[in-house]
Amino acid sequence: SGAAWARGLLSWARPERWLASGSFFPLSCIHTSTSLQKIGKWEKKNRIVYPPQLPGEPRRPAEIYHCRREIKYSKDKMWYLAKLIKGMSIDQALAQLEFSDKKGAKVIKEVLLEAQEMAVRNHNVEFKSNLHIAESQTGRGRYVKRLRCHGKGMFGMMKISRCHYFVKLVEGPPPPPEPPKTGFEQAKEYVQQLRNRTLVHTL
Amino acid sequence: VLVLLRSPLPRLGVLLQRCWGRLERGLWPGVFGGQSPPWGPAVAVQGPVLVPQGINGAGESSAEPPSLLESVVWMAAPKQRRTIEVNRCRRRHPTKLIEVKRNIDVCPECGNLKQKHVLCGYCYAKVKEETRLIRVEIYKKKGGPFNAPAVETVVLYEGEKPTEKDEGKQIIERARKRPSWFVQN
Repeated sequence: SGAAWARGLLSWARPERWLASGSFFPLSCIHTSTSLQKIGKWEKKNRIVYPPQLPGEPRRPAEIYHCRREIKYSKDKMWYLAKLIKGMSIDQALAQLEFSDKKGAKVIKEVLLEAQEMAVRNHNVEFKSNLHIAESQTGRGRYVKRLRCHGKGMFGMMKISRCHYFVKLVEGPPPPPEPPKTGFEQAKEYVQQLRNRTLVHTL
Repeated sequence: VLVLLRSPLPRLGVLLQRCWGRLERGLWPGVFGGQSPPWGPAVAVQGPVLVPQGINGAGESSAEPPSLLESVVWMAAPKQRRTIEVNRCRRRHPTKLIEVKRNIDVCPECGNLKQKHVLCGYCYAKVKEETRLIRVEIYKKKGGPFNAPAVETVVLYEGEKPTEKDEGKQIIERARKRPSWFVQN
């Protein structure tokens, strides 16, 4: 029975059975997460599934979340580009970024093209031009402190900064820009605030 | 051969010793901005001081040499930390934001985007590549550097023959169809 047990064990431990799929690590059921330990919140936003819409409801526009992590650029400098393309249609944003001289413009353009392709492939978007940028933000990546050598044996500490870039594409034409607030509107609001005042702690 | 390798960064202790030595010897007078040297007696003068002195020394004490506090140049330095609100107002001012470019058009030849006053990037790259191949052919024909013939060059593509006008000119053959943008005479 011992020999039979050993044979059974060896038959279970057959290497051909493991290498059948052709991959080196065949135990795909176990998640061996080494580098992708934290799947960021922005990536998880693509996974939400809404319940099916009722026939009378207006069509919910498709939302696509995409991001790129640890871009070798400063978050403050990247913010200017993110502010530029906020609220634009995707074609206009790509045009502006193509002719911008900034380093981050190339990166953001790649991210937008990837997101557009993802939208058409996975998120059931009909026309790739019918997207606009609802949100575009930058975040701080991991900083690394390094020595910067000056003359006379002096040194300073510099930080090598990296940033993340997040973008949310929504199907549909871009929303019209808000008209600037007129003086008359502001005056009306002020008068309304004065009228809303009440007496407290009284009868 | 002995190679002496000095460590690229001087150790912190050695650095501090050097700095302290310099301070003691007075080679760094402007280190503290002239505000208060670490070992000088602090002199606090408020208004005219009546120092009890003898009648002989009264005239000499009035003309004192100027103290260290007056002969040093005061450098500008911020008084208060700039708050993040103030910093944001400066960084996000409309003049600092990137302007939206209004001079972007579509190239009629290839359909890519181009700026109005600049050549289309795609078409330029296309022409550049073809020119490079023509130059390779010219180099092959020359047979060496500095052998450029002193005549015009005519580029002929597949199925084209040199005409009477191209008698004395250098003829370069390219093994492909004539591109639509390269008009023949």
